[in-house]
Amino acid sequence: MKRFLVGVAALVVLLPVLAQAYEVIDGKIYVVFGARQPVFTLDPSVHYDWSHRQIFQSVYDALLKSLVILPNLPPGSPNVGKPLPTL
Amino acid sequence: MTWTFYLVKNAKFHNGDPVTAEAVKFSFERTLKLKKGPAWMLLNVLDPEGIEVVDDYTIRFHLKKPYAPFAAAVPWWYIMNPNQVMAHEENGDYGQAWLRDHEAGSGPFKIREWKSGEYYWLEAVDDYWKGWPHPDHIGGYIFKLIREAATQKQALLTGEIDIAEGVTPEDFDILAQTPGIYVPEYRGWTTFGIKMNTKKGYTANPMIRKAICYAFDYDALIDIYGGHAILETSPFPTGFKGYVDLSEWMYRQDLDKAKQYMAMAGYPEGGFELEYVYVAGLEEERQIGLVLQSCLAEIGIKVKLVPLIWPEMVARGAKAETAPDLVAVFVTPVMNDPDAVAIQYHPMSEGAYYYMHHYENPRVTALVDKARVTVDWEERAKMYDEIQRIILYDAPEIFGMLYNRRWALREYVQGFKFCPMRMTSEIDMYYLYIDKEKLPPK
Repeated sequence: MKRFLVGVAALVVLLPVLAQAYEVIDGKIYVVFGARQPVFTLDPSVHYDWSHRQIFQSVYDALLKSLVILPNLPPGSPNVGKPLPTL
Repeated sequence: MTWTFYLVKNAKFHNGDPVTAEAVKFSFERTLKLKKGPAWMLLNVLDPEGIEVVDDYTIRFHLKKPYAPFAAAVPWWYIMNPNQVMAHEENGDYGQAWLRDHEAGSGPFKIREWKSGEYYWLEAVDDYWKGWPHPDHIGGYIFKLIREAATQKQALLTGEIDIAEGVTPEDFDILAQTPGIYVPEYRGWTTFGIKMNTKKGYTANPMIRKAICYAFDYDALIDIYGGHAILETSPFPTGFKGYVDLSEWMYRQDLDKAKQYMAMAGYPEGGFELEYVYVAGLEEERQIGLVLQSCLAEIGIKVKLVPLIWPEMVARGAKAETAPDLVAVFVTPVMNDPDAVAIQYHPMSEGAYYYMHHYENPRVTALVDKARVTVDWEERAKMYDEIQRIILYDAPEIFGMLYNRRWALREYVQGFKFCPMRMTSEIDMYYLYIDKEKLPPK
């Protein structure tokens, strides 16, 4: 029985996702971002945390923008779990 | 020290007004005068009088003293349209009430609609002045509040959302194996630590703090993250500018030492209870709390797990009198400068979430102050070296780990770019585009 349940669970996990979240309105595709933390102001002068930054980055510009980009760690990469070299 | 910025001439606010040097001056002045949000970054080095509009598209900042992190701080100072903000000023509030649910920006997206506590719907500005990096850029996005990690995972699987930021490490692994979903993974600079109240209660005693540091099982952190993490080897994030490798000095589990420190503190048998506060719904923090509970039981300390929503945690942690004994906190350096990390250990951060330990060491305070105004990097680096060693010795927190940053996205959402300066779950949506070949019919 246990083996059967594990098999069913694995099947559910590996099934392709069927339903789609995105919205299409006037030919534009809007994606849906699930977030755990609320936003309670659109005023970038009064508060920041990640959820507020998420909205501020989208809505406002600044004189400069941080663009430090690090490489992706592919699944199973030998880099996973090891520190990056000191800058 | 003077910084001059030359503005592009085609930048426009969403209402069509040009982005001018006056708008920049207004935005910086406003933040400095409100003394909230990112104001701390420049409060001691920039006065409103030091901001000079040279002409419509040239702005100059005259700093009161040299400030090495200035350029690194600037990305946090967003430019607002003064005409819109001041048209809605009430009782001298600088438009704060209006800006709670309106925006006055020039960025790539604008607010389409929103419902407090449920969602924000943003749409792309078609004629965004910078242009778009991809012709099939997203038309916008709905920022939908889903507090529970398990619900987020389910929402991604059932087609309620396209992007999940907050599922458990195990569920990220499962999602990475799910057809139609991919999980980008990056080494981040976000540290996880358990800050201890250094001013009040049992944890004000450094011997007890060291005992706790030696009692904790650090390897459990890596296990909780399924191997997608590394332990901290300094109070500064590994690889960050100014970081020094203090691996051999880091606290690692050693119950004999922990008991020795408890004895030195005058509590050889323990016999008291501490409160561990964590974010309600954040499963990993709850699991870490269980590890803490089990480890501290070995030295006679009971741990009470207290889940709180984030705003309540921050409110409690703002003052030493109310700050929890132990509190789980993730901290991301907000700029590419060691000042952004060192500031966590300076009393000028009083009230900020990353200062819930209320740590104060006059030598560290003086070094942080000095390093901020020192331009020569070699000199600064020595100061940050000493700062890291002192902080480690004082043990204001259990220095934990840096977890790999992961998100889960539908495969038709492409263009994801990672920047370690972004906060815990933040994504720069500007780069996202739809891969139409992978887009299934609606």
